[in-house]
Amino acid sequence: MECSQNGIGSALCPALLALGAVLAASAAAQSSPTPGRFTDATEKLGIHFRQQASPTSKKYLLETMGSGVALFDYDNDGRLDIFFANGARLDDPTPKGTIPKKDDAKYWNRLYHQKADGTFEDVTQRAGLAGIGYSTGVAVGDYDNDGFEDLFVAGYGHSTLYHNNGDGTFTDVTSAAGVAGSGWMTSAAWVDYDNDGRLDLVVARYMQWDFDDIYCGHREEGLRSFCHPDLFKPESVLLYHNDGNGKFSEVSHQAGVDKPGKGLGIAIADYDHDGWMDILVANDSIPEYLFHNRGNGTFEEVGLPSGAALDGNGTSFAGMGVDFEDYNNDGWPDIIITDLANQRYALFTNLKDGTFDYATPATGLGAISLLHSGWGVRFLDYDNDGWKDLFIVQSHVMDTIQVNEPNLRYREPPLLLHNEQGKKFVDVSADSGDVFHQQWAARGLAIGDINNDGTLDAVVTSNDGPAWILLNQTSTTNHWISLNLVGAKSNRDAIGAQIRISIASGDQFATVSTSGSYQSSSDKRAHFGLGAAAMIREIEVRWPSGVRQILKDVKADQILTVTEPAK
Amino acid sequence: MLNLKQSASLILAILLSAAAASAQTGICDQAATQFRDRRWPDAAEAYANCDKGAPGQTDALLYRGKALVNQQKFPEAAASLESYLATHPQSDDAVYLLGYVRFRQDQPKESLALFTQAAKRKAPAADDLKIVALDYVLLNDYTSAARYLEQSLQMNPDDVEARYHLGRVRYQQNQFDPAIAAFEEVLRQNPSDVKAEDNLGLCLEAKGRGDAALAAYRKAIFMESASSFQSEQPYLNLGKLLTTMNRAAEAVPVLTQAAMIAPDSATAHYELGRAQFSLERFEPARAQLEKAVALDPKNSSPHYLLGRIYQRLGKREQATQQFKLTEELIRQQNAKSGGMASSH
Repeated sequence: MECSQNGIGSALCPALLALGAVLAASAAAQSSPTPGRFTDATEKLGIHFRQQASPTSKKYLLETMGSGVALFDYDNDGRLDIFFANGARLDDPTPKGTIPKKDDAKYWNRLYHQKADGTFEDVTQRAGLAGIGYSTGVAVGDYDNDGFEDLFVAGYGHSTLYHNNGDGTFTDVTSAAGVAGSGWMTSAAWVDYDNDGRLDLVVARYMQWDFDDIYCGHREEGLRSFCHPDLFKPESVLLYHNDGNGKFSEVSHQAGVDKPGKGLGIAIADYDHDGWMDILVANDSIPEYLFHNRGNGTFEEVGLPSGAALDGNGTSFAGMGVDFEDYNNDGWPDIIITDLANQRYALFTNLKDGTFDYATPATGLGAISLLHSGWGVRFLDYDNDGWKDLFIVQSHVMDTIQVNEPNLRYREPPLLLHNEQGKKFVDVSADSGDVFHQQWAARGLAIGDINNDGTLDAVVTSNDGPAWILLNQTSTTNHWISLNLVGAKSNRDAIGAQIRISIASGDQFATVSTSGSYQSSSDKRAHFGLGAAAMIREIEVRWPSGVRQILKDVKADQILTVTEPAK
Repeated sequence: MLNLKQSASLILAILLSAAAASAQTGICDQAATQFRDRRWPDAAEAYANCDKGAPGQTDALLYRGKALVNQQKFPEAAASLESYLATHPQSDDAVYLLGYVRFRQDQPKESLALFTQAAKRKAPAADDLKIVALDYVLLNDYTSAARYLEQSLQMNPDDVEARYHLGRVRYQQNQFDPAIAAFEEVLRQNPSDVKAEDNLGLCLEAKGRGDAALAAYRKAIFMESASSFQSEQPYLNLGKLLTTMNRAAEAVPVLTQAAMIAPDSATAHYELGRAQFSLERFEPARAQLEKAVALDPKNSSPHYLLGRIYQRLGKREQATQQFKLTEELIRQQNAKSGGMASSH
């Protein structure tokens, strides 16, 4: 491609081309959207977590990738608890081949139990969840269908599966289960890919990396920086089939998901409505992968043919966080992937024919995100108006970015985008609370209704820094419903169940999942904002087992448990 | 409007003003006359002969270099200037000029070294600082480029070329407000500057002001219609934005015009094909993308879109082939960038 006609040297061409497909968003919004109101309740609720990245002079890439968080109810008391993954000690230098260890309590992963008064207590030691290595991601799922949520903690060199004993304690069953894995594991997702009623496990791996002393950056200026992933070879995801006896079989190759990638985020949805859950992997700086589930235990990687692998210019980007939900209420899961500044967050709208349209410019997301770098991301309806908005936590990957690019920042505030009826996103961050004016090196993000008040809250982790509990106190009279699905024939968590709710203003859809975001795991309850509707005409649940369930005339403003019927 | 490749004309003014022939002989006088008359090929040859009469003892090779620069014969100019500097190592003019020549030869590091050498003896002029800035542009160091362009403009605030380049650099830095200010100033000084108007559109587009960007592109096209020079760029920018705004039907005639102006532009065919693809006109889209791929076979983007078009046309094997090519080209690009720019 040429760009010499723009009258500047050839060196400018790539960046100019990259700016070719910029947004269509008119600055003239029709009406001002409802801002959110998220308040920092971390201290008040008794959370004192701090992620330890263990920075060194060597700038090991592991130091900047952070650790995730999970929101889940481990003791079935109806209140969400919080699990934080944490780093481990890194020596300076760290010898090649080292698997870091948590040799001090400051490196422990932490489990915070929510008490009846809404405050939290640290129960890590009692629960047996301190961990062993450099923990990265976390995934929640009841893999043995015993009614208690289990915990998979991904890590560098070694991951851990904790079985929830149902008495407030967990047992490390990694070895027996056979899911320790290898390499640099990041995000993970529980998904019943073969609809046998048991949750299987898919684990993203970043790349083939070790503690090599590679100098990246400007040596003459003494400005060492984190190395680009292009320097390292890709690594495939790990897919573990749940064999039903507490054991898992690693089936990545047989299932066809062993295509080497640079996975940082994972999300699941049945994007083509064929009844089988598909897997999306957000890859860093190579095409994104969409593993289409063939329904016979195998997958086909269809990122490029589906249009979800590259941006609108056909260019790869640094995929990090991901979510796979229906933002335009048409019943078909869409995709959001966060990436680095100058790339723009990638929004792919499902065209209902197995392909996606790159909707970043047309929805206004391009102009909003051009100068931002995002990690954890979730669609959530923060104001319960019936449209899923976007919550994104941000930070550049390079702590020295400002030196080379003065208009970029390492630390960034989070981003809250209001969904304008599935057509556009509007940045309401500035009016949505002080937290959106604070500069964070954020990484993980989990979403859930922490205080069961009918609005979705957020937990954010930062790299080598604190975590934040952000309670949603948005001023709204809109109604809502939260559906807690319990599978019988299907997996007990009902992960993969597809829900349609019907109210006067239209239908909404959601897929039950704890995965998505970045290295994090969210509340499995499906939350719907209902706007002015105090009654839901119909709720349809399509369970992974194939059972279809209809509920009529359901009252709003409640957390409703729905159990899978026999037929 | 000037661009980097036309910057020679600015240098020319300096050269002409300094055109005091130093040859003593008849052939040297003749060379000086030809130089003054801007008969560059004749002057270059005459100065070569002049030097033969007294090798290294006159300024003939310096002026030969200048004559060659004005013919855009940069390798020959560099050779002449290097020969001159061998016998006149203290010549600031020759060092500055050789610095400019190295810039034109896409050798920014060598150019910067020469400018640095010359500046130790003689303060650089505004034009020298501008070339230094453009060297930094070629090195992707936009921070330094902006600094030197600002310095150049402090010395010569009316230099629209420097102002234009400052706008471009600010645009590259995603500093759209300063870029807009620069382009608006260029347009204030030269209201018919098509490229400034076009680039103003790019900045407005990047800021999310789509309608204002469309207006700027349309104005640039209108301005261009009054000029003898036709560029596809404003048509391309307008068409791309219309496609992005889901107005592909409007984009098609605009991009068709771009492809007519620049039939060898892979970008024009790619964008026209992209608009056709949006409209689900897969056969016309295929034709455009096949042209784009032929014109720019190493670029992964047209292969990717062509694959998607083949897929829609039911040509599964051809689609698969294009997707494989896409992945391979991206892999090659990443391997290349991983070796060159290793930081995140």
